[in-house]
Amino acid sequence: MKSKYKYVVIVLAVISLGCAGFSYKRNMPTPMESALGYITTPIQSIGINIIEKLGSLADYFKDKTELGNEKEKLREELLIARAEINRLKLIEDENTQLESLLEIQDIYSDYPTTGARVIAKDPGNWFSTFLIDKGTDHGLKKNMAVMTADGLVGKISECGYNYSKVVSIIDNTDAVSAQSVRTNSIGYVTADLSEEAQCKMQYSDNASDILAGDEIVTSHISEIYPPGISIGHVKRLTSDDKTSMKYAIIEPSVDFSKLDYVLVITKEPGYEFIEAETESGDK
Amino acid sequence: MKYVVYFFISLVIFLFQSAFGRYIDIAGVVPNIMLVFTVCAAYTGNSSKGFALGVLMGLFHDCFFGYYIGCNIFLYAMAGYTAGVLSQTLYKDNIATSTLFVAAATLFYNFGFFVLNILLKGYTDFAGYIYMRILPETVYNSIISLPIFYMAKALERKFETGPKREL
Repeated sequence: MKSKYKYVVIVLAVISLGCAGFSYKRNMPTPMESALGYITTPIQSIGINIIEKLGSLADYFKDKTELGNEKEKLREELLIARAEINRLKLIEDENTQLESLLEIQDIYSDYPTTGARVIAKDPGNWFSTFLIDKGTDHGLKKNMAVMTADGLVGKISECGYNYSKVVSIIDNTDAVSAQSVRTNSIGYVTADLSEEAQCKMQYSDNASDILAGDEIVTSHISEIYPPGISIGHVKRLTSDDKTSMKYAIIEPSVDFSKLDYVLVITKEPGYEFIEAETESGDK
Repeated sequence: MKYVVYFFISLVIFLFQSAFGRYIDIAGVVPNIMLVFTVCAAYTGNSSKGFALGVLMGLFHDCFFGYYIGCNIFLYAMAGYTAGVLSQTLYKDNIATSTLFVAAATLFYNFGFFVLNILLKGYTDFAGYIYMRILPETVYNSIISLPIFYMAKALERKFETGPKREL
């Protein structure tokens, strides 16, 4: 008798494991399952209906004074919320006005982006190159701009089948054409390796009045980077003793030491700008 | 067998370094385990081993993160080879000496990298680079070299052919 149970247990175990093995990849319920579901679903819904009815009945008999107090409270909250909505509307209007003044409308929403995960980083401490887990297979190409929600990270310098190499703006192999939002003065941003994770901007116009705190964004003359992506804020101004060139030390918007997830702008680099140039040339 | 094992260990160290290196940084400075392993293996072994490992590690580094192939191969291989040559006349069970070797190799590597990649572009602020990057990395690498040294020694002992040396 005992050995019989043992066999039953073994056979059941084998059958259940076999079922699990055969069915773990299924997408559709089997006919048996759907038949079972067809039968049980109405019963379940009846049960839930009954419970809901009972609940509403209990609610009906709740203390009336409590409900009255709650009503007063909600009325107050509604007033506050209405005032808040009015305030936000004012801010929104102001914001749209300022945006149109700056000629940067809906900066980030225009660009088609795809998210990618940072999978590896340069072993050395000199450069800031890293690999992301998407490549030509996902439609990425060389020279596409890479950013986070905070601002510009860099661009793709090499594109493999399922990975891409990203060179960041704090890497001194490259320069980014940039402009100040407030004064529109154009310059270029390069890495400043001697200061920890910072960039510097050299601007061509020596008389331009860039001040500490100004926001620096990518300029409209770049063929790689779309215009209007935040690079950083000016930390302080300095000048080179030997060349008497003016520099602005820039604190990048992106925290490069904590990059885990980036956005790649999947627009063909330079496409729009070349088209715009030819159009203006025709005129 | 020996070569296959060393190849896979190099690959694992490279993958660990590139994928998880950014999580073990101290104040933004990451230790270079690839360089430390090359130097420790050369110190416990010989110069040709250091050279071969250096070429392999440099190739990994250059292929995935370099702008051109050769700079890191040269620096890693030279560090490994020099450590191997200098260690021939030394007592090999001294962990203090291996730490010294790693520190010297880190200084050499970073100085070489600075000359080949930064100085030739016209950036000359070497003092800033020393304080911000080179010295912290030297200290960090020296600390990391303690466990790596014992690993390299164990590997060397396992694959040693011929009469056993005092390791």
